[in-house]
Amino acid sequence: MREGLGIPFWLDDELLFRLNYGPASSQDIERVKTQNGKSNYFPLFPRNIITSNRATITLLDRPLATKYVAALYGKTDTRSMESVSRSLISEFGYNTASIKTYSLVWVENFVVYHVWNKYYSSSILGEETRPSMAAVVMDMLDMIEYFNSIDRSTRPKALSEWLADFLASHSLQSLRTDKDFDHNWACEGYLADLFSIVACLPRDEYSTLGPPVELGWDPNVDATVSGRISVGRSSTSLLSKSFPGPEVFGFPDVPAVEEKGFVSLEDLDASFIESGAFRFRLTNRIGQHLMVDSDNNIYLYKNAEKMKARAAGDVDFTDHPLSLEIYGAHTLRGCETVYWLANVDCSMWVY
Amino acid sequence: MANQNPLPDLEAAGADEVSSITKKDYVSIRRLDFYPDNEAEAETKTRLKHAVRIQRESYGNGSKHSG
Repeated sequence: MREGLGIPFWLDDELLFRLNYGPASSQDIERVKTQNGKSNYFPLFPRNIITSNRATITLLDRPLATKYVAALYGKTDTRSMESVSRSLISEFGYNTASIKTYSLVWVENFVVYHVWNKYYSSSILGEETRPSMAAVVMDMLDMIEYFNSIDRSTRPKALSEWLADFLASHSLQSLRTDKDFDHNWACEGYLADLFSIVACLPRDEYSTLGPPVELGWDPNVDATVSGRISVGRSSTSLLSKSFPGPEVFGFPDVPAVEEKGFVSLEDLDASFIESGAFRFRLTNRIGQHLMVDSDNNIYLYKNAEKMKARAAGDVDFTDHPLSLEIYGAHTLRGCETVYWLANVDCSMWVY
Repeated sequence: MANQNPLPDLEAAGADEVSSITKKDYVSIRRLDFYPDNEAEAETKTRLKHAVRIQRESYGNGSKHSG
């Protein structure tokens, strides 16, 4: 046995089966969320996952994880390729050198800290029992397939309408079946959060955190006041954005240009460009990436900081990478919804 | 290899407060109505058991695996 490193408690086939496929007890969930009296909450994955002596909690059954990443990015192995030798990553590890790992961490965190929270969408998911991790992931797979199937020539309509259609046309595994529930609330809360994870959206327009967009919390004042949950008022703007089209992935309310948004030449290693008439400016709007305005400003989507941190192995996978790379091979590029993203040449970006 | 991290026995620990919080604040997980037959469920359990055993052995062998 390696000194100081015991077998993590979650490396238990029966516990893993229960959490993925049910049934599991409240003690199982309590154990996953807290250990030795301390919360396992933030971050689920410690920084620099490869080199740290960790007891990282990775719960999602690997065939499901592989299927989910394949649905988003095409056939792939959650452990292999992309800068890290497969032999360095165990059966229960994720490849931290891959940007696709963000999507898996978001899924696991969402299930553990939202779906399994008593105060999250209780009338939709169930007051006493909740869906297993596999149930949620299977519904996400259905959602990916559904949005992928939308024809690019379809008349745009609000995301909330698409989610209502998705709900009406699918028999979802994660929703309660013992009692009827408010379908509008399901679409505007839980399913909107699911969509934000599938679409890899930042938590909100101004956040560096990853999804969900936090719309599915119960409007439970007592729980909030008692400190059991701590959630600010979430923006519902995502629900009214048109789809297909760039709106869902764009943030028109965000200031287009950083106040101190001029980029140093050293950082960009592109001094030859700025030696001429052009100047680089950082933008919060992904749709402005590589655009040139009438003042010869070349706009760059603001993700250089994150990419540098990730290259140095200092990554918090609960954050959003704020990177075009996460959309580079994203399946939704295949539909008109993110057609404009397909026109962005990610290879031009400074990694 | 023996499980070195057994599930905590909240009741035995005399943690009435913890138990009451657990009962009050934590939900349980319902069974996924997914497997068409017991055979498929058994296969999944066997696969998980095998993967966990391999992983636990790697801890014992001082493998480079990060877990």
